[in-house]
Amino acid sequence: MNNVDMSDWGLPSRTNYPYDAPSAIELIQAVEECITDEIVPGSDGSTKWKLRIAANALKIAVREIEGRAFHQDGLQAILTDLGAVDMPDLSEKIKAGDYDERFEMLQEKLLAIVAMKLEVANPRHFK
Amino acid sequence: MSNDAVFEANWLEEQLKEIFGATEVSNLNRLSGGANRETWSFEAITKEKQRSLIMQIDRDGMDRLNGTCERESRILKIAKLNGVPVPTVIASGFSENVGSRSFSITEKMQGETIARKILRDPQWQKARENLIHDMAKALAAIHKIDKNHFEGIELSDIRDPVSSLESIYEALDDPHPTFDYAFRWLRANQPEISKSTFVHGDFRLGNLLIGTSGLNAVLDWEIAQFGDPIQDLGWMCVRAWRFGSGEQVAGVGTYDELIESYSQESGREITKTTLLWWEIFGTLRWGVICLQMGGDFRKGRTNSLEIAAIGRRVAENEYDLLQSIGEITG
Repeated sequence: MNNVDMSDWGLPSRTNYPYDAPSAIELIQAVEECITDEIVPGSDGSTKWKLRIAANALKIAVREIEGRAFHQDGLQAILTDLGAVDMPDLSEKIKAGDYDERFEMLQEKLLAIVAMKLEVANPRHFK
Repeated sequence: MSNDAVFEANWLEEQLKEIFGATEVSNLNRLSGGANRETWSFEAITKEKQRSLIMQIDRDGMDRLNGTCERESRILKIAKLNGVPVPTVIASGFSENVGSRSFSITEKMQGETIARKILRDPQWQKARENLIHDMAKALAAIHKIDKNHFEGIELSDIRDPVSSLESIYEALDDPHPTFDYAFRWLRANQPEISKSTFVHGDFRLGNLLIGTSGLNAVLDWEIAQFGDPIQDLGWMCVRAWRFGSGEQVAGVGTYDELIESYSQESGREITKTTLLWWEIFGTLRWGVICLQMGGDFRKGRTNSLEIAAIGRRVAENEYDLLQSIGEITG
């Protein structure tokens, strides 16, 4: 009775049970692409400028959601290396001079933390 | 009336009537840019003349900033009298008609403020060549103004810049270990502080009006204060104020060119070590300001998306601090 070929009708498996697709990330990406590809070209002046900021903010949000778990593990490993419990504790230890004899090592570890932040906030800033 | 203005054109015409006689306001347009205030351009038409003017109003909810438009206009007048290129002030004050905020009306001077255009478009080529010299000359003029001229204007005198900045950072209570590291480095490597002068406080592309042959006017005096004059030089070397250009100073020149030009104009000797210390100080300062501005959004003092996004620029400054300090110590 049905002669239509349905062999490629299968949908990608969902990653966000119990919710439906598109997922949060996919929705944010769709909005970002809509702003960038459809709305920005027809706008100008301060509206265009605001839309670009909006699209960029959405890209940051996507990178954060995608990178968060991995970066949080990475941060924990670095903090453990430095003997600090969390970021406020690391701040206190730096202020107290705990790393003054190991300033280069501290610099390296801080750069590793900041690199994770920058990958999310603005990957084009690396040099 | 376009662009959701917080004031009425009638009110603006009343203000101008006192100065120019009967005036008609047209072409009122809100300009983009400026996180702390709203800027409008318009034409003021009288029987005899048509004038292009600029109106600025303090942004609502940003009361933390003591640099209001009214205060700035008083500073502009003093700068003008002392040979600094600035727009002429037409009127200023506080009014219920602009939401009880302060406002200023100035002449609209020709030129471009958008850094990325100035640094890239061919029409600004000649301006780029002259810019280091023009900026050094304007800074020397700013730093030469007799401090007594500012009597009656509240200007802070920053004797210990590191502690001043640190007190702002500590008050925000949002620990950033890289900032603590930078504060520690700055303290350990602090050069001798120069004799305090009047300083602009935010001297960089974006706040400068550039004409085809160079600097036309110095704008945005909202955080002018007294302090070490070299901070104004270091500030424009901060990577954020290179706007993507590879050049060290304001995206247009080298440290050596700036040091030579400024020394010639001001008679003040400065070393590269001192300039770089102030650049790193400036990077930390911009980082703390980003944190503070992002905080304005987080605390609900503003719903500006632009300001929210600035909160995420903290990481760029942390990266620049680690790179710069690494290069100096490495």
